[in-house]
Amino acid sequence: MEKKTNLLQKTKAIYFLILAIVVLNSCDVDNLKYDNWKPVIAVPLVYSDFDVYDILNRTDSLNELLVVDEDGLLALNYKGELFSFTLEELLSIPDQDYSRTLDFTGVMATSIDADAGASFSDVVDFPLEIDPQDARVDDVVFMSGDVLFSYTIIQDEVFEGNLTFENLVDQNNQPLSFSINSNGVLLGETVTETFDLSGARLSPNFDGTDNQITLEFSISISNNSNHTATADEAINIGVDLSNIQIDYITGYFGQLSINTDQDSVRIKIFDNIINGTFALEEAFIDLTVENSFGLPVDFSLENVTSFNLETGEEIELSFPTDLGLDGQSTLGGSPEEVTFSFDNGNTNVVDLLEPTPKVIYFALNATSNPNGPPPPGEFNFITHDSRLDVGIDVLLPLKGYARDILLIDTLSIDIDFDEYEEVDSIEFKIRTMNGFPTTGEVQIVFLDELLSPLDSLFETPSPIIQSGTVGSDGIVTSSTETTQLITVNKVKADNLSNTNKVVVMAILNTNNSQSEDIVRFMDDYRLQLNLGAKIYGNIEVE
Amino acid sequence: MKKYLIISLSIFFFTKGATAQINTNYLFSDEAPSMWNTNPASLGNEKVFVGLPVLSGIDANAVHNGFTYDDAITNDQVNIASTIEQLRDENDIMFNSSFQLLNFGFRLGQWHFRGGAQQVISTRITYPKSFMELAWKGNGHPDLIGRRLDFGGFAVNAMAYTDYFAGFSRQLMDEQLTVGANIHYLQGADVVYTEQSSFGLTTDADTYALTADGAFILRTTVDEDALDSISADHFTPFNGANSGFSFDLGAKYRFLEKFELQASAMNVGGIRWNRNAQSYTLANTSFTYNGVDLESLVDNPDSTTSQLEDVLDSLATSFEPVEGVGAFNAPSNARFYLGFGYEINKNNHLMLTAAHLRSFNKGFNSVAAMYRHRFGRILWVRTGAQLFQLDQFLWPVGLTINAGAVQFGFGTDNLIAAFAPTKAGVFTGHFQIGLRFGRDGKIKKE
Repeated sequence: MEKKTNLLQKTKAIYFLILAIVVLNSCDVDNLKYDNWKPVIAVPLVYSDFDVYDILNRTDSLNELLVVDEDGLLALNYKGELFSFTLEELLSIPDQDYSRTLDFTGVMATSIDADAGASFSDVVDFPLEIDPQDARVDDVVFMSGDVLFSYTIIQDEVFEGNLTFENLVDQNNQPLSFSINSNGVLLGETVTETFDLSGARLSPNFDGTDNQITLEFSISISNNSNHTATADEAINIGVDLSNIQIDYITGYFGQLSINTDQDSVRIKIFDNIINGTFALEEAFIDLTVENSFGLPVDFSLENVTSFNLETGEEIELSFPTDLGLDGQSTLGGSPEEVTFSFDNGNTNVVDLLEPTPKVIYFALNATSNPNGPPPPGEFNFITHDSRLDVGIDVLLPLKGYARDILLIDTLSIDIDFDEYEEVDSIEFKIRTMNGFPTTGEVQIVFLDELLSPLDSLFETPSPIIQSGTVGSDGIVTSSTETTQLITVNKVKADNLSNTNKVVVMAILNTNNSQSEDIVRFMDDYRLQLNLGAKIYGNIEVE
Repeated sequence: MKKYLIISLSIFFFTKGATAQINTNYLFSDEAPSMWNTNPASLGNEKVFVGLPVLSGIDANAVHNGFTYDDAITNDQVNIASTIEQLRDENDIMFNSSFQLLNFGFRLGQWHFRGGAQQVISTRITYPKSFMELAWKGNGHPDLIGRRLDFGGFAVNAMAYTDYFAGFSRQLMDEQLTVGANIHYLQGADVVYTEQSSFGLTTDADTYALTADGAFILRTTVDEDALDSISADHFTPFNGANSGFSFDLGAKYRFLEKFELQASAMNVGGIRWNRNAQSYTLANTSFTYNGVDLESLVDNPDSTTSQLEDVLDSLATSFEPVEGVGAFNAPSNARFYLGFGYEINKNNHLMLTAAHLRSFNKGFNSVAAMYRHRFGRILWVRTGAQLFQLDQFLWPVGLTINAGAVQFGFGTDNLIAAFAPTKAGVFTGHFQIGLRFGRDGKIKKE
């Protein structure tokens, strides 16, 4: 067996011997000359296949949604709450108090010391403080709140009695009443008693100016033989209303004026756009109102203005005023829901977006009871959960044209090409397959740290993206391929080696935008992008 | 170091021309008892032939059919581009050898019986032209970009086995027809067998996206660390492992006195490899790399590295072969010959042959024209021309010397290699020595 194994080794040796003889007799390997090795290596660097959602969602905020109609036409839809008012912002009952000191007269003091006794008995009104003060309150039911009743004995006699709110009833519809008893009460000590107003109802008497709360008190005084009554202060009583939360309130609240500060809606899609024209064929703005206040309101949007922060250009929307609301019809009923729609027919809404605004400003003015008090038998009402919500729903069908939309971004970047002697040059290839009706030209300028230009990517801005072929209906019928080659050789690399910043500029135009051709953005558009590189090697073979 | 590298590369590349065991020399050379290696219908011209043990016959060749040294180097200038350009789509490097361990035969009337054993080693490494083009030009070269570079021919094959054979031939039809057959018991030692190989690389001309595809089945009995530790046990006769059989069938038909037609099918069979048999299978798979995903890059500018790592992981997973264990069959390297002979006179013969040779399931065709001349009773000389793969010229030469009872024979399939190795570089050699007893009466009279 050993011999057989050796045969294998002999075989290998013979092969080697034969071939080595051939080679060694044939060449002087040290003197061989070689051509330079010049391989061309192609590598894909970056790819992407965008659809319209990828592109627009990347620039939009959450309240900017893409919607698509039954034909596939895309629209930007901005939804949000413009303004919102609640009961607290219209009407409130602040903390308030009422106090009164009762004095003995000389007759009363004599009668007391003679053990004949005396009494205080009266009915008094004190005004309910309410904001606005001229509001007429028919009824107010409290969701929460406190009534604090207190009394302080000033003269050391025997007091006994009670205090009753004639127009404030508890949950059982019983007038609210507090008792007074000096037995065991130290002189000068304030005795308090608190009542929870939850569920209590106040029905003040409106005297044409104020809403009066009526108190009735009755206090009998008997003699303390250790004390001599004098004609002076005898007892102090007080009432505090605090922490009032209204469950609902009825009455007539007057012509309240509601003015908001200027608010804004941000249009993020235009964030990086410096300049250009963005014209839509149509646009729709819906103001959606949900009103659960039981009172009529007229309101209007004021100063609706789009504003381009870069250019200062602004467009003001001509908006109808005095949009009327009737108010919720019945207490406990359903809120009033109204939508006010605006389009090309009643506003210049399409102009609003023309300057590629980043923000649109709004302000709201509203007036309640514009026609004065309600007819007899009717009243205003507001409940604790009443709201006046004004929402906005902007629908921008992407059908129009965009012209010379300029985007500029500056990036800090240090470019440092390593010395690769084996690389002769690198040819970058940008290839797009564009199914959008948009042409894009790009230029990149390389700056040093003093912001002086070093070089540019192209001699002139070059089309990276060519518009897809657009049919007469403004819809892209086929994609267009665009290829750009960018060669970086050693000279270019040297130029760029001190780069500190790059300025990326892009100009976007929809198809034939100079002629204001209308294009449509459909939901099946796609943009494929590929960036690849060919590395041209030049390697010396030794 | 560079010198050794070049020598090593030369061993692989700077030989060109023939393939395993073409054996053009032997066919119709009935002066040599070994002719039954190409046609079992051979009778031999002696009653008894005994090959010297171990030395009775050596047949070895090394082949590279891609290019020659002169193709690659001219006046010390290495012509890499032109050399690659002239490569075949698939290029083969082959080393083959057979050592006769024992060889004998004898005649009984119109019968001839024979037997013996030989040690056979066959290897074939195949590399595709497109792979060399890729290495030299790069995938971005205009010649290559946009088309699938087919690396399907990539293959590594090697097989070592011991061949025990026995056979017979018989004359029929008043000696006009001779038929014969051999049966071989093949005892395999080790094998590396590329059963299927299909690989490709496509670089998209528009996007430079790279698409690799492939499928292969590699079967072997060799562990990764066992290449240098082939055990002697592997050669223990009849050890029951890696057994196989093959058959030779042949016929010779003489007509019109001077004409002869021969046909043979040799070594048709295979070995079932069952000792340490392993398979590595990659089902049809494809993987495309388009570059770094821009959206991910925008969201996470530092994601380039992780994305590339993900790609490499996916690539490795896609092209990870499935390992399996279990016996498998590998075919023997069959050979098929068809020949036509014309006897000009007793001392001069012409032969035309066509051959189809299998090497690990790949076929090689060859045609040859041979002339044989006998000098007295001692010396036979053969020469001629051969077109290997129908396009490469070889110059086969051989001779047989009968010195009494001792017969020597040696030759080559390509004499060009002997004096102009840089132009051809086929290194085939045959050597035989044996003892002949009771030579044929007709021969004696002449």
